Amino acid sequence: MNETEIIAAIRAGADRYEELVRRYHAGLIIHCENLVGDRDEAEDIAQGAFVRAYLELERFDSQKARFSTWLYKIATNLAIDYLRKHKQRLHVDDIETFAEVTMPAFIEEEEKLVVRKAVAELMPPQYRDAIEAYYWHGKSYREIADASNVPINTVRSWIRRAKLQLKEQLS
Amino acid sequence: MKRYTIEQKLSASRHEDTNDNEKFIARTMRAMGKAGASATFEKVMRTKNVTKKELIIMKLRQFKKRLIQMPRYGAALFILGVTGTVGATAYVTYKWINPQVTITNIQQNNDDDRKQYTIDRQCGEFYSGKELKYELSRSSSLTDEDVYKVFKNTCAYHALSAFIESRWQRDGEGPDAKEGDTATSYQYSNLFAGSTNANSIFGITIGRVTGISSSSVTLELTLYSVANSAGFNPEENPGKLPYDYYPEGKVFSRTLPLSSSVEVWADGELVKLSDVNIGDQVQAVTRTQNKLKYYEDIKMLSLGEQITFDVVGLIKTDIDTRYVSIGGNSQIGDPKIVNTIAGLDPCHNNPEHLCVFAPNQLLGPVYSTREEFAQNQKYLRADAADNKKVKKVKYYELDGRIIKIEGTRITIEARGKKTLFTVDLPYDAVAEYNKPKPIVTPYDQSTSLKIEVGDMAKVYYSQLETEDHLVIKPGDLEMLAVLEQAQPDGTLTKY
Repeated sequence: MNETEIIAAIRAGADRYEELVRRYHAGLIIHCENLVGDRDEAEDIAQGAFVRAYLELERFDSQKARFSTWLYKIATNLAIDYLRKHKQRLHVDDIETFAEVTMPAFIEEEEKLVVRKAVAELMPPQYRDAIEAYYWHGKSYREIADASNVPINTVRSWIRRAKLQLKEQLS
Repeated sequence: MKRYTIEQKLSASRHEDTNDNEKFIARTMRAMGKAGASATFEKVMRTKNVTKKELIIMKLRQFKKRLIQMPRYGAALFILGVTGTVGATAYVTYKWINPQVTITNIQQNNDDDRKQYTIDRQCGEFYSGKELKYELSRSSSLTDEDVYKVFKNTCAYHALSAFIESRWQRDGEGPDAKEGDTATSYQYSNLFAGSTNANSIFGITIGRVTGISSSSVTLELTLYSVANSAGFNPEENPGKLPYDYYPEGKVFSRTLPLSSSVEVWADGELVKLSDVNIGDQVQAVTRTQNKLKYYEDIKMLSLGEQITFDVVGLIKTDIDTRYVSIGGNSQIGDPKIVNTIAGLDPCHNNPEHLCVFAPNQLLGPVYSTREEFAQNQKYLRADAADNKKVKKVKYYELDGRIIKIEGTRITIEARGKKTLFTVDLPYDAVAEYNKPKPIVTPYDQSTSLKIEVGDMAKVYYSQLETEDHLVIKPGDLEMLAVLEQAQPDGTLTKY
């Protein structure tokens, strides 16, 4: 069932919102983390965005935007509120520009396969595992570090180097 | 053509069957449920055209109504008290407040023609001088006769009957008891596992010194009530439990060697056996060593006015399986927390463990330190860590106790005392994993179940969530506190 159908079912009273949460949570957390710079706060903001989207689902217009775009926009706004509240010195314009970077992409299935293949071929294997854990499983750096029994900075290095490899392969 | 970042491509390429961050999803879904409930709350306000405060008052009234109705279902209250601690020994007393006994979850077991039942029970804090109140309830589908039939066969019934009849109205207990009084009663019993069995024991009496020799003291004792175990004859079963042999009301003598571990109280003080005189009214107190031994010790307990138990070591609580037992390397002044959770009977399953029962109640475990408690609650805390981003912290004071509502966690702590302990109840995590949920009951209202302004509230874990049992959900507690704040007399103060 596609996204539009799921949303229609939820509006009709079906208890299926969890499917949307599962679909977008990992990316949304990363998006929020990029905005506020704190994983825990990011999870809270992502959670808040899911809740707000759920409560406002009646107002969502699929003709205007995809659900993910709408959801990410809500999360971005919440992140901006958070940053303002905590008086962090970031210009809102910058944030919105920055937010664009992590907004979800809509790429074709074929390209997804290419990306997945590139991830699978990452070497050493720790790079691949770190990328999958972070971007696909929604794990934090800390969780990955604990699971791999390495310092958190090592995980940062793995992911940074992995992205460089991917960038080269996918460009 | 729009170019995407690596991050965007990675996010978009996520497998459908990728393992999810289940904790986050669960937390989010839970938050969504709460938000939905909150939206309902707002909707009710709009529909009824009332303010939030008015709605809270309405809800509280409903809650109070449930409280007031509770006796209709046969609530039974105990007050238990720890009258003192000496070394690793604790002295425990109780008061029977509401002479109406109720049992929950009675089930017929036709296989062995016995009634199988359990009694739900709650926990409380446990320390010297503290009175503990216990509350029982039962399914409203049971008739009083049902309850009576089952309960009549238990030793608790006898103990309670005797207690109600003669002793409970007296002021003061324990050392000031006089000859002929029935006294504070205890039992060491496998009460919860089924009907009366060979482990059941009780029988309290007051002794009178009738003879003294150079090596022993003879006490005349009256056993006022016994638990039955059909067909048992101790003369044919030497060394076995004697309670069938001694009928209720039997007066008998017991000669205790001066080297006996039995303690004797007279005029409110612990005296040596060698110091008593003929005619003295005393209480015999059995002090067990190491652990209760089924035969000799229980026999002595049946003769004793008051059980004094030695704590033999901390028995870890397995909350998952609801095992509860008592133990711990208790020291004088240690804060102790008793966390009683309905379920299996640890004494039955772990006969080497020391378990102390008051009628219908199981006390335990006693944690020596806050850390011990925390250790046992570790997994709960780990779950609660999910909720670590606390947005709101509210404090309320209820009769000297502090209730702290911090996100999804309730903390109760004593105030103004050197020995201060906190019970952390991360109820949200508990709920998620189907663990017992906390309930709040009035604490110091010995004869009334109403919650009034200034009443002490206690939070318990309980598996009960039936209509005839008081379950205040987290929101209820908060609402209660909010309303109390709204009272003009200011009994409750936020700080």
